[in-house]
Amino acid sequence: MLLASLLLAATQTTAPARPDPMTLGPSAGQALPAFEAKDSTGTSRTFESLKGPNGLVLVFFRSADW
Amino acid sequence: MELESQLEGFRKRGLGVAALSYDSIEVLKDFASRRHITFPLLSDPESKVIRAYGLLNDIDYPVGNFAHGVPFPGTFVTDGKGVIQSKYFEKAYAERRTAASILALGGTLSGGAPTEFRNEQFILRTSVSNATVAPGHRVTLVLDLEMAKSLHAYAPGDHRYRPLTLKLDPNPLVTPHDLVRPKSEPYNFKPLNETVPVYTGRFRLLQDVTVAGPTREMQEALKAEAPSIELAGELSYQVCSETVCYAPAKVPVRWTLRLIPLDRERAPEASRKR
Repeated sequence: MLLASLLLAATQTTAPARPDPMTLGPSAGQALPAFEAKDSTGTSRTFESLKGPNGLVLVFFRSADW
Repeated sequence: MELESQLEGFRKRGLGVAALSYDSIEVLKDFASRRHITFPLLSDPESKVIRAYGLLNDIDYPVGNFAHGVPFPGTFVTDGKGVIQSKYFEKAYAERRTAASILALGGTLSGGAPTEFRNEQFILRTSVSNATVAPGHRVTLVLDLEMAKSLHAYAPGDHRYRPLTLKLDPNPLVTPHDLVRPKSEPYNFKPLNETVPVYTGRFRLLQDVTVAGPTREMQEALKAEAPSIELAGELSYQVCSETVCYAPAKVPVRWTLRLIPLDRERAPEASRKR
């Protein structure tokens, strides 16, 4: 722990602070937060309507437009 | 869309697939038809879901930017009850990639590694001491493990269990050093009256790598639009409790290091000597 923090302090560059990818969003072991969004046919969807019997792969992507 | 090509694999595993962006329904409809996408594309035009998940990228795209509202791209995989089993996030600087390559996340899902992985035996989180590296730098790849209660993993020693070992795929851009493991504790397994070195609870493995100097491969790597070093490997392990011994297994691990040329790494303009 100490070693890594020392390394961090010693070697960090001046780039803007970026979140560590592993700290983004909810963690493994937590429940996927409830959500509701319309699909491309305009139908409202939730986890329940999207999941398969063993779960859901939910991808967040940047944009389909650019 | 490569995710589409992976769809059958996910379906076989009983997983539903959906992808969400801040695009309008119309944009997604057009995209789905042009790319022959059959799984649901979800529209989050006000980035409500993106915000609620804490994924809004307001670093690259602050308020006022044409793309304000986009998320850090990533993927969650849940079980049937909605509990997140693993999540996959690219380093934020992969933002410069095109939409097409971000949609290639499907490739990450099959061949790559999560930044956080969980199974019945442990939680593994991977990180790196510095996200940005330059030729000649030495950086530390970090693997944080948290064993489930009453389970242990094995340290190297004179025994027949598979010890925790990290194997990095050879990469001409880095030279790995020895894996640094924490101090192990002796564990006495009564039925066999054997004492073996193990790890329990939370602990950390550190893997230093030295980034290559100005080799030919490095010159080539620096020519890329967004130069980076992709490091991949496998963590092999065996986990047991007092009563159960799981088979030896492996989990893929991966790190992305953003690569910058040495001469660009300077103090901020204001603090430079004149």
